[in-house]
Amino acid sequence: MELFKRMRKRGGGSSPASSSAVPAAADSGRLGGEVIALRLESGAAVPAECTAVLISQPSGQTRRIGAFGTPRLSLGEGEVAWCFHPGPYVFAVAPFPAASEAGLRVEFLIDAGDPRVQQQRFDLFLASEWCGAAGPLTVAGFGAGVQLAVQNALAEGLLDLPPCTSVEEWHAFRGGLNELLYTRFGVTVQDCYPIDLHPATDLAATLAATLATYRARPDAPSDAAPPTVTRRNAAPTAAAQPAAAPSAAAGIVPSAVAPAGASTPTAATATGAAAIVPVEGGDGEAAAGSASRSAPAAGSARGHAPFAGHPAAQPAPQFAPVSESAPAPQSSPAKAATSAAADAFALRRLFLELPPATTALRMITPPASAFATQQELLQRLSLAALDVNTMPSLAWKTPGQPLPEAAQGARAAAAEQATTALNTIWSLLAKLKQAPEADIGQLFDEADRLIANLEFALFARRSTGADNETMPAELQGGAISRERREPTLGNQ
Amino acid sequence: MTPLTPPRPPSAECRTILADGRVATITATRRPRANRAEVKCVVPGAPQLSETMQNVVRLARLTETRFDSRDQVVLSMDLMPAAADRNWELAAVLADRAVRSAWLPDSTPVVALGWSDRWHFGHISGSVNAATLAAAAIAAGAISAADNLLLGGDAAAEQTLDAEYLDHLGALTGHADPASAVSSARAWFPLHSGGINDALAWVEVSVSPLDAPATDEEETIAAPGLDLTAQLAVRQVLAAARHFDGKGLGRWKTVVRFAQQRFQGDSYQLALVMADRLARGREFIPRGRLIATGSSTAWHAGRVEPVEGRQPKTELILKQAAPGDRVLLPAAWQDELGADYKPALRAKGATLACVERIGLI
Repeated sequence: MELFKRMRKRGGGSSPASSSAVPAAADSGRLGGEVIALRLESGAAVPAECTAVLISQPSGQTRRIGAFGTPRLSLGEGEVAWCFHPGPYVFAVAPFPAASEAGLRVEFLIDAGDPRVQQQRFDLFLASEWCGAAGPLTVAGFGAGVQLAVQNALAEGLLDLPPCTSVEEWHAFRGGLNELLYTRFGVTVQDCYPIDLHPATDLAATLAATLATYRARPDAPSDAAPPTVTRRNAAPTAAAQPAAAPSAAAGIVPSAVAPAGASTPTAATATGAAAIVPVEGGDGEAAAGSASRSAPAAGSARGHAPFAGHPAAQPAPQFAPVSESAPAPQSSPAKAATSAAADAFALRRLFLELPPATTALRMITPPASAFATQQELLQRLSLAALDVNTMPSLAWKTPGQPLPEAAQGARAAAAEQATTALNTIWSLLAKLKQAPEADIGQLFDEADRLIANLEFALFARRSTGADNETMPAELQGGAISRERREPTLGNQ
Repeated sequence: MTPLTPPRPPSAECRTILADGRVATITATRRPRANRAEVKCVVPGAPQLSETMQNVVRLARLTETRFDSRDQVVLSMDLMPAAADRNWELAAVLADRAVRSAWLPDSTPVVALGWSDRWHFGHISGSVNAATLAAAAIAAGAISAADNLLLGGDAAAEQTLDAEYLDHLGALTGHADPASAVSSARAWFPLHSGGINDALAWVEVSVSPLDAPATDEEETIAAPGLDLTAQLAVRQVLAAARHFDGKGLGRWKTVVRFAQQRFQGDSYQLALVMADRLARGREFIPRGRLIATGSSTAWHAGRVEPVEGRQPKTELILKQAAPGDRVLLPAAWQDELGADYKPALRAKGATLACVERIGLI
């Protein structure tokens, strides 16, 4: 019976599929070059050399269909299909936001699936981070996510790439990078070497643009109450003249509090991160896209912003800083829609990725002394997953009582903060996989910190904005929950 | 794996000078967060001020990468500042960092004056009367001239006061300010002056884009305050090192400043060259400070040659190293360092490389 239904569905759906196949054909020509993955309609044929991943949207379960024999897709209820080309692909990342001219050229491919695991990591990445996006997964967009992950891992000390890198340090970094990209994104690094990003990203031009942006601000020379010492024009040389720009130019916009539509050039120059330059096969889209990628909120055109967040602005605040560089306030329905989309995206990621992260942690073999710690971390991760699964909806305080908009924004920010912790947990798992036994204790302490941050953010996601809320004892990490409470017979 | 954080002290103190000349102490202590707020501020009888302080510290924390929600930091202030007085803000931020070991002061006690409207960007403003207040306090004996004095804002014209000027929080580890139109980075080098006065001194390179191409690279480099010989040496070193870089010539105006104007020898050269590369965004960036010593007669080839005073300098570096620091020594010292020097640095969280030439690998 099911078979007939499918046949009928395919027959009925043939005309819209063929009409939508026109833009897809333009994109599918770029598959393997600039485009990594592409969404397919029901009834479409899987392109040659590609693999289709069928994602069940409610549950996030995935299955793969190869291109052998050019099968046509028949999608079930609530399923979407993406096909990806194995590559190889090439892009460049700037590993440090402040060193925008020092780059790494990374060449990667999407390997054939590991038959021992239930779900390939790349499939999980597609399902949780790219499934709801409207456009194809481009190399440039993927590279932006990789750049954030690498920058964050370097800032946290999980990867090490110091100046004047020696050969051993470079090999250690390469090993860590390979494992990080496999654990976090499911791609296999083929080659990676340092390159000079200079003609593409020019720090001098970036600084000049920062200065111009600052001078163009309506409130540029701020006469604050205590007179500020002007920057560096005190130095008695002609060389220092344009240096008189006060440091007040817009800085790193804390991503979680920057509303959508933040002035893109400001954010891009300020983070100094407009540095993704595809080495081959890129064109104008990538160059234009670099600005919008470093301004996380600009991704709102897609409905949600994958890879939102800047590593330097990591912990999302539960309060909105009063920032002069904040753009003009938006109409409130648009803001509410943005925070609702961001919140839903973050919670979906947590829902899908926390169980696999727990599994990955369970696969680590701890030294005998750290066994109890690992068990406790696993338990807390499972509790965090349970916490996510029972998370209250964004818009309601209690049934019948809507939550004020400011509190909703705070909740959405907390959900994004939780995904930041999740991203770092993946980086830490990559480090744990390669760590010698002596280091596992210290890394478990890092895991303890990250899970505590996750719990902290999830608790803030539940909060209704009232003052006297406290975390229930069983949800909080740290010393108190670790004290084992003996069962008692008495009734105190 | 090198430790990511040093052992954390149970409490930390930071002093500040109020507008009326009194010296207030801000004390930060740490305890398990349990179910409390991550920052708590206590100023007796001033709930409004406590709330302001909490916001200041929370905003300044946004610029940190390592967020740890396991601890609660309690900040208290023993005196009550006047309503318009905001110079205590930097002291609160630094006390909060010191108690979590997010920043290790070189020496204590720390006296800090500075305020900001943009703590979430890490910017620190100064006020003109801060230096006056500090000088008056030193004259009155309220603080000692040997205290670790940190003032917000950029270095003022007067260099009479032995103070460190910070214009953003990243300057504590020498990093460039991402939001500024001037990129300035610091690197540290050991100054050997006979035992007890040995110290790490910094050299700061600030670069800003050049409007029109210069005819001579050395004309665009200024080192105010140095005598002519030293200025010439600095210019030649930087011009030669930029020649080695290939992409450095003819793009930048440069100002070089030293923590101490008076010193001898040329062991600062490697630190100067590395600070220049960091400021120009062409070098990987260490998590902490960059500590380097070495000179060269051939910077245009990127070669690094040894300097004098290996024993006291390496000892000083080992003593001062903090987690995340990167130590660069000349390759010729490699064999003389001893087998346990590198592990000792690693145990403190710093990494060591003995380099033959600058640049990647």
